[in-house]
Amino acid sequence: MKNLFVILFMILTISCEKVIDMTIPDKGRRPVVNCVFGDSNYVYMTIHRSKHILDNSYDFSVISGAGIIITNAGTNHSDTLFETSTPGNYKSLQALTSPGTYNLKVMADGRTIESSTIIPEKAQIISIDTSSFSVDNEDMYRMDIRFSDAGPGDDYFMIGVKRVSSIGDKYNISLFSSDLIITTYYKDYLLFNDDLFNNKEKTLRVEMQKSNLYTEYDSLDLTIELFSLSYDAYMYFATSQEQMYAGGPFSEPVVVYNNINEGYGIFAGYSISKNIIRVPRYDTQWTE
Amino acid sequence: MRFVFTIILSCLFLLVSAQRYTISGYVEDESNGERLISATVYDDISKQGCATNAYGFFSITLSQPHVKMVFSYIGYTAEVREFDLKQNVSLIIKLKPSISLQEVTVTGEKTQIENPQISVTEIPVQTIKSLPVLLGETDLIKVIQLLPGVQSGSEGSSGLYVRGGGPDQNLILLDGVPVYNADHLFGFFSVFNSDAVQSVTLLKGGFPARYGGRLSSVLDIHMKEGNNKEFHGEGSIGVISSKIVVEGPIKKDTSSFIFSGRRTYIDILAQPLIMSVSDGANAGYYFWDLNGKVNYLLSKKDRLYLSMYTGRDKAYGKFRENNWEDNSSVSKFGLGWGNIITALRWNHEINPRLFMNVTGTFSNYEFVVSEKMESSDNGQTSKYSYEYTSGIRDWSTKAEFDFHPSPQHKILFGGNYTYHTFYPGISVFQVNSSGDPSGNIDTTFGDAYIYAHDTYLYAEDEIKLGARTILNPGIHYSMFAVRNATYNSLQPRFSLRYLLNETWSVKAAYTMMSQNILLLTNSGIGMPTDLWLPATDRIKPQKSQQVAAGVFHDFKGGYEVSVEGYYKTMQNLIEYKSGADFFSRAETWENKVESGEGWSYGAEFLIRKSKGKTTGWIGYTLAWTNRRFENLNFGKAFPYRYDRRHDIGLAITHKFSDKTDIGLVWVYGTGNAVSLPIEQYPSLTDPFNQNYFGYNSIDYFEGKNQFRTPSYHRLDLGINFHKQLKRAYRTWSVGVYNAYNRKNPFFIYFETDWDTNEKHLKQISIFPILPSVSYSLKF
Repeated sequence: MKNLFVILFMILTISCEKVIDMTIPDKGRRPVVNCVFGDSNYVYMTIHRSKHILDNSYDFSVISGAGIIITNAGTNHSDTLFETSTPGNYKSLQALTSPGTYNLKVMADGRTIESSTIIPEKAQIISIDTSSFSVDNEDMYRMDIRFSDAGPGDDYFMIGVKRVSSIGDKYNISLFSSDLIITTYYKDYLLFNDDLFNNKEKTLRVEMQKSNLYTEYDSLDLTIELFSLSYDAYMYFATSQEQMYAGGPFSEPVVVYNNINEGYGIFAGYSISKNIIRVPRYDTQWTE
Repeated sequence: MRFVFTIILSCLFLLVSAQRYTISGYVEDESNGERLISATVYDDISKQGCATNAYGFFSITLSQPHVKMVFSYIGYTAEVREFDLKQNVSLIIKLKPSISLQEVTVTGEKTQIENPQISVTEIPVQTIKSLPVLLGETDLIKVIQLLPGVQSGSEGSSGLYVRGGGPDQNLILLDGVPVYNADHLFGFFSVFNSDAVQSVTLLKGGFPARYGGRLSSVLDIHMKEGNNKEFHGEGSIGVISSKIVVEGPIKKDTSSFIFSGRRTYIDILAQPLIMSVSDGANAGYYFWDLNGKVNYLLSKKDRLYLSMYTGRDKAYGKFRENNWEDNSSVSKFGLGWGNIITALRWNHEINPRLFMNVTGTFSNYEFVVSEKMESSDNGQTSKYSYEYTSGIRDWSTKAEFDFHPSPQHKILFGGNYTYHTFYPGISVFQVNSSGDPSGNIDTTFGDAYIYAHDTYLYAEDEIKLGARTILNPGIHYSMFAVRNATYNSLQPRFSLRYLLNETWSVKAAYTMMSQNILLLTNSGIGMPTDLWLPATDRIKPQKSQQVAAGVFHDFKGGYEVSVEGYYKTMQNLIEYKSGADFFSRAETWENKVESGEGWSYGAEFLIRKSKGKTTGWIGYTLAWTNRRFENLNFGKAFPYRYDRRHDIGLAITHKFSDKTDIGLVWVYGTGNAVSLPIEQYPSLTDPFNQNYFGYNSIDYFEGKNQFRTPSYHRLDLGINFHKQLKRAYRTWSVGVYNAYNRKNPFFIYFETDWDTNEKHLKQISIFPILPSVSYSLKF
């Protein structure tokens, strides 16, 4: 179908391309912080250097030896991140578990860059009901996930279902949902906010192909992860995904959410609620 | 008591001594009975005059006992009637088309300096047909785009961007009925068949009170009525399409008809090529349109009209796959859009000073995207279909009155009611499997229908104060009721014309406009996927205020010069939120849009020659237009995409003889404003997996629309060869679009040259030098 549109367009028009001379200003390189941290893990952060848009080099250079401090705005407790054996990668000595506001200060490349985010209150999964059905000879698995909103304010969520592969690594299963609360997808997660169920309980129906549940064993454990996202995390996931998949020369460019002052990247918190359910073995393996 | 009696007697005396009579009637083309719009009616004795209205009607009330009436219209020989005025007089004036090529000064003919309206341009249909255009397809909107203050948007598109406004802010009227999507072929051509058009008028500001509902312009198009004396026709064959017009009397001098039709044949010509390159698949694109009008003269005072327009665009494809024995599938896709517009109109002369027009209309605009697949496997069949429909449907009725109490006053008033049905996006999804009926699906979802009641009333008075000054105060009131919201809007209008002397005038105007219907557009070119939607309880009507002022001068030799300045503010403009997808069911459309403001200002210069062998104009616009949305560009103001600083349009036609004439168009415009990234930075591919260090590259945009594409300019040339055959009049039209093959930017993007490993900014151009030829026959 896409090829035919191209053919039609070529028949209707005759295109011609050329290089044009336009000055793109160079405002210098800036530090890039990438840090999305949850309430149950250590904080991991990478710091790189940005590139000019016309710089066609393959890699982004890393920034070593940066000074990084994260402060809990409520308790005023500070944590310092230390560089790991991989240059440009930094890690905290302990997990940040408390909900609340966290401020970031990074000293790198002669600059001080700052940011702020929150770890939101966790939304709890109340129950999960499952069922099976078929569509067009495709066996499908359905989950009705009941959970409660965290409170009366604006809240943001992400949900995913994880399994372990036969070789032991974990990966997400592709999900589908026709629920109107879903705003977009981020990888195999579903993103949504509480505009339509603020401060109430909500049952979200998600579906997946049963062929994703193939296992050599008698049963399979699925981990349902319900993320309560900070606004920063929600906007970053939505916009970064959107820019990656933005199609065509006629669509408006997507500006990726950036909350790093005097730099680029993301500093965002989340909390996570997990439930594990055991499903019976499914015999037919998914093949491409 | 005596004092009161004296006053009454004095009034009666004055009344008798100043008794006034009304001369009214219609001005027609003698050769075909078409009523002439804006023909000049002028009394050479009292120096009072008026113009015919949209139905050819005039009315002038005079008090002197003897009159010398001059009836004139450009391109026609003036008619003079001199008589004693002792009672009301009703006239049917038939003007003969002029065959003289020389400049003729006609007493009383209204020039631009006399026209009380500012920011208005009337385009003669002959000019539209004489100017060279893209692929030889005469297009009145392409000609409108050559005027100062009007921009075309993307290369080849038929969108109108008037004084910084968007393409949805133009009230396009076809015989008084709004047209929602005036594009064929994704905006490359308009839906109007020039062969069926009688008059075209564009207003960019100073809108009289009778117009409303859009912020930026009014394009008032009237179709021909049909020759009520003889049968005639016109057909033409061109590179893209062919068309035919047939007109004639149903009952001579009483009733007539006109029908016109047009169709492309790109799909027929391209089909063999498509089938050969795509392994037997079938695909194509076509458009067609039909216009029809019938009118009937019920009496001297009554006339009925029935008009219709319908047109459709369709892109389609069909594929067949035979995978192996007993397994095959057929896939079909389609993208179609179109309008249907019908109007029933009744003109009635209530009395010599009061004219009425009542119209009932129906219009529907719709676009449909569909996909179907049918597969069979070992005797079992499965069918899948998905169809997305969006559109707008209107039922409307209006009454308009022209009241001419005296030569100093022309009062227009009336009202309109429209019942809108919006269907912003309905999806129908069906799955039917003979092998597993339990999996069958038949579901409909999407945005619910929205119903709205749209009413407006207006009143305006064109007041002549002495010989130099005309004022036109007016008021337009609108009420829009939708769901739980009702929006009332009182919109004052005011314009002024002051004659400095016989060849100089100054004009000024103030208008307030409100727009209850808005267009959501998700791409940089005109796409049928653009959605027409109403203001709702959450999305407020758009509003604008505009002031305009200008100086107008007529030179000898038929030259008109004007300089106009304007300043316009717009509120409650809407844009898609970043990343919003019009197909997505996840949110209603109201959740996908942002609301903001805009403002534009500039100056327009125009030199125009309307008489003689050589006619045309050159226009220059210097303009700025900006937008501001809270959640776009971090809340900072940014240039509108079509903020072109300089815009030049040159259009010239020259008639060598009755057999040969040429046309030339040259346009220049500063490049469009575009968003380009200036920096790139990494983002983690999997932020939840701390052991995986792969990353994607993100583009950083410092601001919205902060760059300009290269400038646009283009030269079009055309020549027409005419010959009178035995029973027909034929014309060969040869033209070339983009004569010096300028590579104008259509869009720009970054690309890496893998040979040198360097990244460059590139542009794609469409429409290089394109010759065209067409053949037309009039009989």
